[in-house]
Amino acid sequence: MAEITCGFLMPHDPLIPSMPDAPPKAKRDACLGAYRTVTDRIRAEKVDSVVVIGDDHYTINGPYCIPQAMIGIGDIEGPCEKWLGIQHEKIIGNEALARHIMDYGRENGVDWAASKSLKLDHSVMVPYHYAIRPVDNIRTIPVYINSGMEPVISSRRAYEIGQSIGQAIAAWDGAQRVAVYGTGGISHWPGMAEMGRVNEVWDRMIMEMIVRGDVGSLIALRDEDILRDGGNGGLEIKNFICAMGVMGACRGEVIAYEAVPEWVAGCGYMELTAA
Amino acid sequence: MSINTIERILWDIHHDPQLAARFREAPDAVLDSYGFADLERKLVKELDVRVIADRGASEMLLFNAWLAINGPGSVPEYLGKMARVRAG
Repeated sequence: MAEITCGFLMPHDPLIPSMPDAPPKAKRDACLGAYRTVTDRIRAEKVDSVVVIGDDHYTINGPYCIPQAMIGIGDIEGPCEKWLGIQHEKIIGNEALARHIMDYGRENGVDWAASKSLKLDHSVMVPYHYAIRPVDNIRTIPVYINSGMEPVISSRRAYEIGQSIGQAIAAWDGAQRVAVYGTGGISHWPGMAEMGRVNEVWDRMIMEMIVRGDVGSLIALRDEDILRDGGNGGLEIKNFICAMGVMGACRGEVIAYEAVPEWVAGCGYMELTAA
Repeated sequence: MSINTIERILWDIHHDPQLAARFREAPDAVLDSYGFADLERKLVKELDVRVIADRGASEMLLFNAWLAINGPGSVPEYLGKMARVRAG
């Protein structure tokens, strides 16, 4: 039986690898140190595979087709972005478990879009680079939910898809120790006039809800309010909500938080633990 | 105003560096194949990002296309154009 041993929330900000010297050293060190804390934890937990929940930014898919939930079940490589500051590579996936998550979902009300040849954008590639690759022999299962491109997924649906992933993992016959990463956020306004603004008050409110395990309040936040207070990038809290669905009842613990306008985002790192 | 067609050309430019280069050098030749109305054509040719965003285009897609055409050094110019008073 597979087991979800731990969960983490972290930024996937592309400026972290592409403009590493932009912020003050103390902030950069805090953020990179937080990624190392995550790798230390998954190493200690002897994790075999990580489900990484990200969202497209009109990089992988265009307006021609916008899947609400997509899972990589075949070849994986990345990044798409040549400017990301991360060398292109093939990534070891877990095709069998990814396909099982997809099949389970399809039998239980989740119409997954499947990618058999997936080139990752920064939302999965940045967490992979900092918080998976440094640990030997970890397989990656990329999941993209549409938190970024209108029409965005509802937060309720993001949670339900997370629950489906968690149930699928529990139903897997093979022995796997699985971690889940919810990635993105927290407040940021990519491409908008407010780009560079960070709303630390709002970021800490979101993190406090996660600390309490209050996913109901997170789901209840209206998209228009998230957009106003956290930016179009703030909608990526739906990736966090999805990860909380994977975990089941859970609480959070803050690993680190830095408001980094140089990286145009509030960077929050948290560990999720079963409640 | 077909925001879908505008988003389509923005994606195509973002996704295809050769198309971005052709747009930089000869935008009319690229625009001819999209069937834009006069106002849409003008907005895209001039990359009037504020107005395009006000009419509903994804700001992320706009930013991606802008960078594909103008390069990363043009971010301040993009933000300057986006900071103009929102239309309507």
